[in-house]
Amino acid sequence: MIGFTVTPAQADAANAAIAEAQTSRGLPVFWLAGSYHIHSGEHAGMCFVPCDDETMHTPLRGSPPLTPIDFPEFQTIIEELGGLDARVDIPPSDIIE
Amino acid sequence: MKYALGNMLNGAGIQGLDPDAKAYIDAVVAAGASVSSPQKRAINNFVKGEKTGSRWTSLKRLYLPIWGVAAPNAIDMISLSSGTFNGTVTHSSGFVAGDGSTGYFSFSGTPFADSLLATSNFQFMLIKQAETGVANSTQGTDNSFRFRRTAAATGVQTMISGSTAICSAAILRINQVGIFAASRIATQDHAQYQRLTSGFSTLATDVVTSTTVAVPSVAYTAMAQGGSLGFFNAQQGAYGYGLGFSSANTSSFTLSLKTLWETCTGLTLP
Repeated sequence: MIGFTVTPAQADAANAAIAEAQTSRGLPVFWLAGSYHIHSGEHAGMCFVPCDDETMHTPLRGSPPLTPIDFPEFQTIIEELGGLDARVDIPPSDIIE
Repeated sequence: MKYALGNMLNGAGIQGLDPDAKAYIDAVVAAGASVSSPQKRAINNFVKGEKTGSRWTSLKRLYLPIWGVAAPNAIDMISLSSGTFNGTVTHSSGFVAGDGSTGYFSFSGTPFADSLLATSNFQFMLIKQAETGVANSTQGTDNSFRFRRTAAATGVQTMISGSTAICSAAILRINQVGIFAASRIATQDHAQYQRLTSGFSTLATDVVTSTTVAVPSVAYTAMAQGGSLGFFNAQQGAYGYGLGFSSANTSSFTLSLKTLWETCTGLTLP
């Protein structure tokens, strides 16, 4: 799984910003990157925020559909999490109890 | 003449669109779905059929994630409110699929807030292709009121209350497809059903008389149990819950849902 390993506060802030990007446009919160506690492995104690190609290209809304990377807020969130080069690849078993 | 013209304008040539069907169609179109006339007709027929069968008001949540786009996929056909996709979920034409580790969908309501009762509740999910991932995948909520499957190869589909499994049915994983439904009504213990193209069957009934499942006030999820453990990567074309249905009504509902999903997607239920 490819994404960011961040503190719980950073993960909450990232998802809150994604939610705000939707509500500020008068939309319901229909999509979040999500946040998952890492139980084991090198990053145990941190939170995982998925950010692989599938996530970044999720068809969100409209026809043709916009994706997260079409929104400037998402680019900002990625930068605040350290940029795409800061992403790591962890096994699913690290977040599944 | 004016009436017919008005219906044509409102329903793209489909006369007599049910207002609830029209509201759902309008909502998914506004969110980015392209809805063809045959799809509109199928949605209309489904809603009208459920009303005629006196099941519509018992349905509390019904998601039809077939549109290939997250926003329309998140819209509940009953309330028109929107749930939330989390993590990595693939949105395909006809179904959604989680990645088995992060992807799930959080309903816009809770079973308790939606007035489900311990003695009257109903859950369902349409599975196009069985799970390939981890064991212990679930749909439902933390610790109660959930579908659960266990074991990688053989699989047991159950409805569970806390740590006590009830109404278990052993089904090979490859056969965990079609429409699964679990229902509890006051005059009947829990029962679990499966609708396939080949027919409708009762998989299991509760062996413990009067056992009830607590109705939780936390969010119900598809593809994961409460968003924490037990993720599900099956291809799913519908999911939801409501008040309890009899066996006969469960059969009728799942047949209507099968027709709706097949007509709208051009796919065939396993």
